[in-house]
Amino acid sequence: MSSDMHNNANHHGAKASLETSIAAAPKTLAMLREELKAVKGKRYWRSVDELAGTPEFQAAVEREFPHAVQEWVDPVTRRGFIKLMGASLALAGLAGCTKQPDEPIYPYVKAPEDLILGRPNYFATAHPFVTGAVPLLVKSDQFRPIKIDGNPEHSYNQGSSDALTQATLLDLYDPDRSQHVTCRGENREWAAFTEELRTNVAASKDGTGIYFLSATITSPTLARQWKAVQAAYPKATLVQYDPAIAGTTAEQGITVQYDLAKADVLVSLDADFLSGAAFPGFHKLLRQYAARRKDPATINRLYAIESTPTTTGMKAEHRLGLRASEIPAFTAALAKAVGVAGVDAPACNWTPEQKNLLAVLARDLKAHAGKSVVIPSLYQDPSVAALAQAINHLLGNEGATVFYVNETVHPIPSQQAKDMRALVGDLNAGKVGWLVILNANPIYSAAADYEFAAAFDKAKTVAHLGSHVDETGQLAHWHIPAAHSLESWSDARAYDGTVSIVQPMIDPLYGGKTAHELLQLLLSEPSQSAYEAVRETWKPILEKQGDFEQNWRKALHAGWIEGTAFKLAPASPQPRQSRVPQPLPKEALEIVFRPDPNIYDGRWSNVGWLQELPKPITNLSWDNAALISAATLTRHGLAEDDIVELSVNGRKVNAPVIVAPGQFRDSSSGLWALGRWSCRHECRIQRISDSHFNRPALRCWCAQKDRR
Amino acid sequence: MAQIFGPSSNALARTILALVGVAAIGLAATLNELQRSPWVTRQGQRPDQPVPFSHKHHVQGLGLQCQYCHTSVEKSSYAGIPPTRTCMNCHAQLWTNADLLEPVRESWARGQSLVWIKVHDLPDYVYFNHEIHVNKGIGCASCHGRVDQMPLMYAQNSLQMEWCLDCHRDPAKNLRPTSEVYNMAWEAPSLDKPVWCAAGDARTGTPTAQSVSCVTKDPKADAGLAESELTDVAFMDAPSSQHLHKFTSQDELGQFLIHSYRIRTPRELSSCEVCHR
Repeated sequence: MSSDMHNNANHHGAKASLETSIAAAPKTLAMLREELKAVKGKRYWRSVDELAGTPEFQAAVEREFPHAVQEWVDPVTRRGFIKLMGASLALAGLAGCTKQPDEPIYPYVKAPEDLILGRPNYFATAHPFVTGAVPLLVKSDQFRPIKIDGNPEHSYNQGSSDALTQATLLDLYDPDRSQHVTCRGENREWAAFTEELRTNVAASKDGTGIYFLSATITSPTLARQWKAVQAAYPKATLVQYDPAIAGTTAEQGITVQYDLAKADVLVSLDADFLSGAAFPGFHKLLRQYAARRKDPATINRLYAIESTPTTTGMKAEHRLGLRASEIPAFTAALAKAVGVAGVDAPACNWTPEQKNLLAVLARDLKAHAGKSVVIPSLYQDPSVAALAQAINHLLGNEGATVFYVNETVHPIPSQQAKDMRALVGDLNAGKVGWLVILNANPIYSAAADYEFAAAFDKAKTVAHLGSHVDETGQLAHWHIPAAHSLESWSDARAYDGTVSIVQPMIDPLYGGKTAHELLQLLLSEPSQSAYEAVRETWKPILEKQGDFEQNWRKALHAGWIEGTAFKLAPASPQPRQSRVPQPLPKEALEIVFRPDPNIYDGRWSNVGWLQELPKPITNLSWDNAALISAATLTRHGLAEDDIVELSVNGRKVNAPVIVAPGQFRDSSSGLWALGRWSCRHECRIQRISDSHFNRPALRCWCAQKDRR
Repeated sequence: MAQIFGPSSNALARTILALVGVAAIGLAATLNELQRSPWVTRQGQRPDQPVPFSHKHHVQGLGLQCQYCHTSVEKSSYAGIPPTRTCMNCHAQLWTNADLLEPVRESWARGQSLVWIKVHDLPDYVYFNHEIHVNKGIGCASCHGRVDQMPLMYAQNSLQMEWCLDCHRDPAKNLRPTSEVYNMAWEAPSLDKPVWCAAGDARTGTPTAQSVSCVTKDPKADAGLAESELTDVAFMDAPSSQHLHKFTSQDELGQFLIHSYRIRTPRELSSCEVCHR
């Protein structure tokens, strides 16, 4: 495990690394500090090990080159190898002399109209995602999708996409996807399930005891279908739960939109808006941020105050590492310094460096009133978002760089954390007759404190619609293979609200079903397809613009429906007043959990492209670890890769520690979402090394304890 | 102790050495020939096809154009094998009871492909693109031979690398006007059968093949002009900037077309990554 990074050390960055980048061995902290004092200007390094020049690192570098390959140095091995392989080597050339086998040609019986074999076709669609759909243009060869890219004509992302979106292609072709409708492990027909569900729901009369647990609904059509279900069965309950946003300021959808094109000064309050699609509006924000930096005359200035090292922090001109619990207090202090009235900032002993940045930041913000933007984290205390809104309001950024909308990309906003807790309560109370889980894996991903897994068994019947027989699929009575978003008709809204129709690139490979088809079963036209349902949703809007069929084709071709972007609200909403929490005591060690930058909440843990992709800053791949600062490492007498037991409120998890440059002292971050035990790749890793972080995270761990 | 090897051993040793040398050379020569033999290359072989389709009958006899079936030859790397529907366009009404066509009717009825055996089969590590060849003046017959005279399809050429390179190193010898690409009976220009070509302005954005027009009939004779006025006379119905050139040898025509069609140099054309990508 290595903790690699590339420090484009500007003045401030070098200073920060001086404090926090300490290698475990063999140089002492003092030696490294001495050495770095002499360093002037830029110095590039890939990892803390390289910076410290450890012998282990030198050895690792040596091994990269072939002269050090062991087998060829050992005479016995080489001789034996040549002896054994000599004949094969000599005859290897003869392999080229063989005849090619006859190759069959399978022409079409009726050729499709628009296909020129050997030439790709391109189709517009969208990747529905919890932080907003990503409009796509999919390259397709003989009607098989082969490459995903952003829709270049879409105003939101203008051709850009992201790692998560691109990798959904490999997810489509995952041979581990579930392929059959099963009931208690035995293959059944889809019709058997529909019969069972319809009979039971009808028997409940008003939907009592019928529960739906869904990933956040992003499709307006699905929302419409749910509303119809609710009208027919008023007591049926829908719980939406996405572990990455439940309980955060994003769970009810994001109502704030940023426009960085006019922002000279950007402040990120623990908001990692440059890393990936996990941050709402990432594609647009990244484009606008980067566009300003092409020309020195228009360059913007980014301040990042963050609790764990991120891409945003590394790009920032001024980065301040704080413990996550100090960020609300810091935000309050900043709001006060800028001049927001009625801020109750908790008393805090800021260091001179922090005080200095606070003063500079406040001055810079005031100097750029109306041309600055303060972006709060999704994962921080609600007070951070409220204070950021207040600062933006005071500076007159609203209407220039910050906008508010009345709608969100979530057509049915809900309080996910609260609803989930209520669901667990109902499960424990034995109120749940049928629990239908739509595209979610709560056994794995529900935070441990919900005790969801223990309550799960109390449901009389559980049906799981999912792409894999995952943790939930294995325990559910019914499992229905889910169609991939590249296989199904649906719809979704991008960050700016523009509606895209999700159109299938290929027939479902394994006969997967969509949530649309499942909810439709309970309505008056149970066999209506997802295609018809989506058309029905947009018919009124498209008819208003002229001929429906023509506009429908236009929307499919272009990749969006005209005139569906959110209307920007004239005034900012009333700021939610919330108390600013006191930071944790200095001696307390705090832990922060973030969605994995590559596999997000674990849904893509079977996608090799994403597992293989090194995570920003740490360069970790296929793994998870607790990131701590070198100071904490030294204080606790640890070395890198040591396994530590972390415990929070009586829940424990074992994890290897690695030093992350820029991790603030007395703070540790972990990523959710690794250590899935139903996942083939993970099992392989566990055999190799016991040091694997084999629990998704503390938050989720206890839920799985008794199932391992 | 008697010597193990007597004086005659020397001769024996030399003979054996010589024989080993001869055998090695012989083996190499045999393998070399074997590698180029039709047994390996399938050159000239007619595999069993589901229907004994005759290109001769359809092309020469009925006058079907190549692209009636091979629709994507100008647009894609792949020339295209016709769908069963193309067969049924005619055979739904013609020879509807012929036994030979039973597989076609069955394919149509069942919706299952006719399974042909590939006659021109390049190894998978070779990238070949029909589109560029056809649009730059390589005729079908240059590679596939006189398909219009083949009752059963076979490969006229070996399709081996040396055969590809033979042309890539000197494309001039096979180039013809794009208007003649589908002409199976095209003959290289000679004194008896000259070709007249005119190159249009090198306008930017104009597809190169379309800025060259060629005729095989004497345009002056058509226009009623005297033989002496032949050179550099404007086309009667073409812009005045177009000047007719008379070509009486393949090499002259080839060089002219290389220039007009902007064909890359032999050095570029025979670079590895052109075919092995």
